[in-house]
Amino acid sequence: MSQNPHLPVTGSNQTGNLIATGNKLLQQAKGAYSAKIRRDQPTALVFLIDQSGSMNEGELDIEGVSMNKASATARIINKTLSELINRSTTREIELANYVYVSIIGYGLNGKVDFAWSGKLKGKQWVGIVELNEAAEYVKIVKEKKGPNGTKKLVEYQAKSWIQPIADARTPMLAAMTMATKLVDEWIKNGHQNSYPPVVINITDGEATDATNNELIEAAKNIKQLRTNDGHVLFLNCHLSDVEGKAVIFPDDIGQLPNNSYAKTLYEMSSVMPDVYNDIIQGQLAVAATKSSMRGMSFNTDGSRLIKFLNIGSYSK
Amino acid sequence: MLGFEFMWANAVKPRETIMQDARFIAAHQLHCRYAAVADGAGGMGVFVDKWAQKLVNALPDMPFATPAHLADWLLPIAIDFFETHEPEAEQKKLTELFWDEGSAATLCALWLNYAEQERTLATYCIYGDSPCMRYQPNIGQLMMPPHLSRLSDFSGRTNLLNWSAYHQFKPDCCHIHSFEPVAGEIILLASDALAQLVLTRYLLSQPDKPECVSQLQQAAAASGLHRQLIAANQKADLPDFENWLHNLLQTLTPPNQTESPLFKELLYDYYQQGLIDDDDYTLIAIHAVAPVV
Repeated sequence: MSQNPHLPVTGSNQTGNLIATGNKLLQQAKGAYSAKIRRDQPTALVFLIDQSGSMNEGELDIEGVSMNKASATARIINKTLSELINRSTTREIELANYVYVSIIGYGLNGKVDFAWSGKLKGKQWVGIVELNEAAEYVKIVKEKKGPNGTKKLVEYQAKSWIQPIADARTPMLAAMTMATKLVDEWIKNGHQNSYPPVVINITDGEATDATNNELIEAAKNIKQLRTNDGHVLFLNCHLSDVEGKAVIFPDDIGQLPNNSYAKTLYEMSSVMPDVYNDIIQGQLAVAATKSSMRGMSFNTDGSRLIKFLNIGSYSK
Repeated sequence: MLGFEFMWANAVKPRETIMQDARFIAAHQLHCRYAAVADGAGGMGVFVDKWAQKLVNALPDMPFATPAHLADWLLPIAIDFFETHEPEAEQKKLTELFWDEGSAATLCALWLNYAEQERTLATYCIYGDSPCMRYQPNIGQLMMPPHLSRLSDFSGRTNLLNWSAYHQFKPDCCHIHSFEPVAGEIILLASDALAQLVLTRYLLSQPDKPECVSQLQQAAAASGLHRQLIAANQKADLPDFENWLHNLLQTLTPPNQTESPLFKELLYDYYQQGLIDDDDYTLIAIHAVAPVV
C-alpha cells in the first residue's frame, strides 16, 4: 500500500509578499499572448506564397508523396486550413469564425495579389465558416493503421482551396508591404484586444524586388504591428535548393548554412514568445529551454513543415 | 467498517452545450463500489465526449493491478469504438481526422474494496491530468497523486488514452496507487480545471509554508494562465480553504437524485471572476464516514 506525498499542512509577511508578487505577475501577464481566441474576439492568419517559376522545381515528400515546391506549398496550406476548420468547430457542432485567413501570392504574372480561387476569388479576408463552405474536395487514398495495428487503404475527401502556381519573378517586398497594410487595417477595425495575428511566408528563393536589408526593414514593419495582447508574429519557411541540414525554430543564426538568403529570412523572423515553448517541444522535440527561438524553418521535411505551420496557425 | 457517501456534479464549459467530461459511480453493491471521471480532449481527434463516456462505462468491477492490465482492457474497447464510429466519421467528412487523431481522454478511476478485518482498501488508476485528491479535515491536509503533486505539473500537455494505434498507450504514464481511507476524509475525483482551483485555494491558505509559496511561484513562472488564475484567487474574497471546500461540496448531490443548479452557478461565477480556467467542470466527492457505534 503506498501513501501519496502530501502537501504541508499553517506569517503575514509572507502573505503580503505573496499578494504583491501576484499583483506584479498579473500586470506582467497582460500583452503576453494569452488572449482567448473566441468567436467574438477572433484572430487573423496571413499566408504569403512564393509563386515564382523556380517553385516548379525541387522534390519534397509530403505524407509519402513526392512533389515539387509549389505543389508541396499548396498541399500543406490546404492541410493547415483544414486543420484550422477542425479546431474551429465547437465541440463538433458549430463552426465559428475564430480565425480570419488571407492568402497573398507573389510571382504570378510578376505581381502580388490575393491568391484565393474558385468561390473565394477576389476575397481578402475569409472567415472559417465561409472557408469551410467554399472548400473543394479532392480524393485521397492512403494507407492507415487501425486500433489493433492492422493496415488498410482508406479513401477520403480532403479539402482544397489553392492550387500550385509557379510562374515568374519573386516580388516578396511588395507582398510583405501588402500584408502589413492588410493586418494593420484588420487590427484597427475592432480587433485591438485579439490574439496577435500571424503572418507566414513560404518561399524558395531570393526576392527580385528588394535587397536583403530592405526585406529585413519590411519585416520590422510587420513585427511592429500589435494588438493589446502582443506583437504580430512573422514566420518564414525556406524551401531552399541550397544544401544544408534541416533547421526548425533556430535560436542562433549559426545553425543555418552559409547562405545570405537563409540568414536574411532568419533576421526577418519573429522571436517566438515563451508561451510557444511547450507546444514547440511537444510537437517537434525542440528543447523548450531555448528562449530566443526564431519562427523559421529551413529545408524541413514535409511532416515537420506541416507541424511548423500548425504551430504558427493556432491549429495545435 | 467505514461507510462511504458518494456525491457528484458537473457543468459544461461556459458558452458550450456539449459536455466532454464523463463520470460514473457504481455504489449500489457493498463489494463493488467505484467512481470515475474522464476528460475528453477537445484539442485532439473527434467524438471525444463519446470516447470519455465509453471509458467510464466500461470499467471493470475490480481495479487494474498493473498498467498492462489496463492496456489489455483497453484494446477491445478501442476496436469496438473504432468500428462503431467509423461510418459516422465518413458521413461527416471527418475520416482523415478520425484515423489520424482518434479520440482521446484522461481517466481517473477509484475502487473501494474490502480488505481483511473490515478494512477498506482504495485503489486509484490515473492516466492524464484528472487527479484523485484526498483531503483530511482533522489535520487540514490535502494529498495529491505523485505525478500531479505540484500545481506546475498541470502545465503543458498531458497524456491521454486513445483508441488509435498512432497514439499508443504508455505504461509509464499509468499511475496505480492504493491507500487505506481514514474516517472523515474526503476523496475527490475531478477534471483538471477544477482540480487546479482546489489545489490553488489550498496552497493560498498556507502562506506560512515555504513549500506552498514555492509551488505557487513555480506555477506562475511556468505558465501565463497560472499567473492570472493565482493572482485572481489571491484577490478573491473567499473563506478559508476548509469552509470554501465545504461550500463547494454543498452544491453536489447523490448520484440517484436530481442535480441542483448550484454547482454550475458557483463554477460559472468563479469563471466570471477569473478564478478558474474555461473548461468543463466535473467533481465526484466520496466521504469516508466512521461507523456508528
